[in-house]
Amino acid sequence: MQSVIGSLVSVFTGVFALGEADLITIGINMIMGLSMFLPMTVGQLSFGQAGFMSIGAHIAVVLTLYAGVSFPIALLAAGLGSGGVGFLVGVPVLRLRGLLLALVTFAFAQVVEVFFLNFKPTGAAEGIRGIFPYTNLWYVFGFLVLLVAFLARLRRSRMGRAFEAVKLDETAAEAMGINVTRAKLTAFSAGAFVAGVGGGLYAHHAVFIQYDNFDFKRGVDIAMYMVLGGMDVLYGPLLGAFVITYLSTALQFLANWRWEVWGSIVILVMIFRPQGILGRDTLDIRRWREVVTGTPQRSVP
Amino acid sequence: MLGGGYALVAIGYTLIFGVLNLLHLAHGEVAMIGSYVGLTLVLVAMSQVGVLPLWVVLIVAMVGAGVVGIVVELVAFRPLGRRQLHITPLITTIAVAFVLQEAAVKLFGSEQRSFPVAMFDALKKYDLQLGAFRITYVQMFIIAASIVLMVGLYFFVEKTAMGRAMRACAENTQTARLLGVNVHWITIWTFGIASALAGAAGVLIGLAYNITPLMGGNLGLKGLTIMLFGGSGNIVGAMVAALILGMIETMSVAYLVPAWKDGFAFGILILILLYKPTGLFGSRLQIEAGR
Repeated sequence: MQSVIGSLVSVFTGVFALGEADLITIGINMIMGLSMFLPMTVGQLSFGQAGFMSIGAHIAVVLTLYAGVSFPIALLAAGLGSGGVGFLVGVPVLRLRGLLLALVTFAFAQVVEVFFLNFKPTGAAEGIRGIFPYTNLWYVFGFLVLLVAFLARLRRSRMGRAFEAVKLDETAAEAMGINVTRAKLTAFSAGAFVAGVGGGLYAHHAVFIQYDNFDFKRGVDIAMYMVLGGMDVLYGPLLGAFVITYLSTALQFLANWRWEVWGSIVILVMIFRPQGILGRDTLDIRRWREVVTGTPQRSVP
Repeated sequence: MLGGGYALVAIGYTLIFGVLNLLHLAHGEVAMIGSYVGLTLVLVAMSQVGVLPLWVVLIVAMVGAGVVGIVVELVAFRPLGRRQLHITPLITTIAVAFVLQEAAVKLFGSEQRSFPVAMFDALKKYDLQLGAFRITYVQMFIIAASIVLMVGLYFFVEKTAMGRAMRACAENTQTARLLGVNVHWITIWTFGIASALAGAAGVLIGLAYNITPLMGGNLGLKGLTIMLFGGSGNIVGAMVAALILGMIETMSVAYLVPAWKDGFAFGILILILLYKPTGLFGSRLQIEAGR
């Protein structure tokens, strides 16, 4: 009993003892969560972010390792390459919606995995070793801050409002003169770009990559960051990535029962908060007043 | 022969997707549990009474998997309520898939298992010898069982009152409810029947190959591809598509580079979704799943 309480306490105190490597992992996962959040801003569910991450990682590694390109430029190239693939994939794929889009993007990620399993120049099944450990806190959180600033600005911008309209009702958005296809493609390719940069950062942190670093499990993890954290607001995936990455190491003492506990947490969150832990209503003061006083305080529109 | 097992998984998918508009991503894992139930029964019976007839094993595994399926529905689908987004049940069923996998590792061990050789030996006396070919009893059983189950299901869905209620739910849940169909009850039965079929598939595939806790992912994926290939909600389509894919797979092992095999299946999946989202034989429902 004592030890259980002790380990529970250490779950909370451990936050202050995070090392650089942990923070980098958390930062990269936050970036990946946001890369899935971007297509979600137009209401599109992309399950293929692990595939884009893989593409970005391989591009960046080939550039720094074999072509001697400097790290920031390699990251940019990784983002652009992966974003370009995202654009090409997006053109046919974005005709589908909802579950079918999720399925087809998931299948795309699997195809990418099989591709790198067989692609000789990047070591095929053996993967690439001896990657330079360029990634540090500055790169990761520098990019993350840029990304968050961009997304925060996006919501208030013309394009962001167009995205929001597409998310709520495509037909109505189209009727108002918004180019729905372009909005979807932009958001989808931007998500692929971010995932590519995230992949580049990941590769230069892990120093060893292999096709199965970006498999089905990775895809599910990325989806969990967004779904559990909250898919309506940009700080949702940030919280999700932090909580999930941190807890998966902090809950080591559960060892054998990790997946069971984990599955129950996911199902419970989905039952009570289908939009994720954080949502539009989290920062809504009126709602909290309702919760505290128990009286509805709806203003007349 | 492979086709039969895959078809049963695919038909379960089609039932759940058709009636409930839900992708049940733990369906392959339910099949995996079914094959372990069958295996355990055979092993226990061997030590107590002797070799059981295969159909008893099949029925027990179907009941076991059906119960697991209903539990999945009650735990991971029912409590979500009706205001869910389409991603919510997707995530909860993935969580269930991981839990089932982990539970199977704990209960049955993570190593590869197969049905005992002694059982196959005991059944050898029923083998058929046709000239140069030898058809084993187990092979005949696999084919016969999958045909009987598929035909039975077809008649169940087309001819019985409950089948009609299921089709009504697939068409339009709201209207079905208005017409006095108990949608909750139908949901439970749909999960139960689909999972029982998956359990049967698990046993049949276990008889032909091996059983591992990880077999569910692969099975689920094959079932999903076949369902889309045959047209979602279309039971006959799923049967034909399963036979075609079973043959393609056997041939692709012979003629394609094995390392690309999985990519091949996913490639087909992508092409179907993009160019023929209603499947080869037409979809029986609107598959505009998004909202």
